[in-house]
Amino acid sequence: MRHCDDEALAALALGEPVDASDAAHVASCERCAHEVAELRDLQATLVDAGAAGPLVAPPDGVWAAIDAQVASEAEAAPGSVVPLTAGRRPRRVRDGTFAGWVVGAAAAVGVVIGGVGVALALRDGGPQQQLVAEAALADLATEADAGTARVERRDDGTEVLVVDTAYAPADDGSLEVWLIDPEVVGMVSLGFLTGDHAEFEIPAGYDVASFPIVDISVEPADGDPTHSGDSITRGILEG
Amino acid sequence: MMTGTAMAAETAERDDAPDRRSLDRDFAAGVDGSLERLYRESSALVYTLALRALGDRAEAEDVTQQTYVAAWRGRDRFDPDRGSARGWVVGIARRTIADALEARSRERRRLEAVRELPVPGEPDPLAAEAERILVRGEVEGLGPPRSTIVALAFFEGRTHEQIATELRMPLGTVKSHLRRSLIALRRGLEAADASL
Repeated sequence: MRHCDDEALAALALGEPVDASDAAHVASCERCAHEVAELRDLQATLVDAGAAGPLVAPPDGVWAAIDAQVASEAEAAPGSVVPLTAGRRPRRVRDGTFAGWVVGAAAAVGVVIGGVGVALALRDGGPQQQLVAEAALADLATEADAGTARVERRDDGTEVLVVDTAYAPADDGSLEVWLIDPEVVGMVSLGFLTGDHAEFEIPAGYDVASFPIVDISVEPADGDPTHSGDSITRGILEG
Repeated sequence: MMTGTAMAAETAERDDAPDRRSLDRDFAAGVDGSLERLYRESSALVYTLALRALGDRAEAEDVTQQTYVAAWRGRDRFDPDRGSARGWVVGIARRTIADALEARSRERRRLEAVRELPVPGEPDPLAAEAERILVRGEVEGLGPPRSTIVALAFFEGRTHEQIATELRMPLGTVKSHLRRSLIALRRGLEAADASL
């Protein structure tokens, strides 16, 4: 049995005359009758969409801002999906506030900013530690949940970044953990990630309020101590 | 509104816009200028979705900017065989809008110092409006003269004869465009749903 072609189905849905053979076929073919019904529903959907009013074009400045942002990122790290300026470039002035950027970055990667109470006693026994800030980590490629990072303050006043993530060795390098400022210009390397759970002492002088972005990058063994620009996981610390 | 006549016969036989498919491939490959082409084709849809959901021009502009920057950064993950770049960008826009709404309610909760739990299963009042905007976006995506003909027929309720007169086009051509538009819209909306 030959089914009706799209044109005939659309004609039937629009109430136009069709060949007698098409009309007879639809009367006896469940599949083609269903197609016609769907196309009729679509017309109702179209009429309903008329209520939404016409689309509104964004102001001209929006494209200019996108173009500028994309261009500056491409310049900073060619070929990288999530480029960083990596401290190699002068600071650039962007529109908007740092906080706005962080929220934007979080939105872009689907990071959930977890606000937490300060001064939670985390463990029984051992040194008492205070939770200073916490971040939900997100895989930048899939936007999937990728564990957590916490900053804890030890009794002696040092702060430690505790990373819990599903560790998977990278084919093309080692995984390095960084704290980055909201402009993604200043950053400090904390060390290499070699397992699901890792703790890194945060060097004195760096605080999470100034360096709230936790970043895990793939670093090739090329002797270059700067960030490769190839970030795979990020989160924003909030305390 | 487009009221020309010359293009009617030339484009009557065109089925799917070949431009769109080449755009999808170019975008996936990161070809220079493809982000701008995608923006020109889809930014009114993205901006309108954001504007209606957020009710604030500045926020809608931010969301639009974030959406296209995220789309460009993540273009490696876009597969042109699985959907259009436009549908993909709309998916990113919807997540970005949801994040903006979430950030807003978080901020409100913080200001009120009251932790309200979201009511599970509450229907999204914006979903129906978003669907309408998406449908309008698909109609615009048909390009002239079909976008004009479909808008006149369904949004403005004109008869086929009125459209033929207004666009100075043979009645048969108007009907042919409407048939093909319905087919193209059905495919386009299916693809849009699939990519969300």
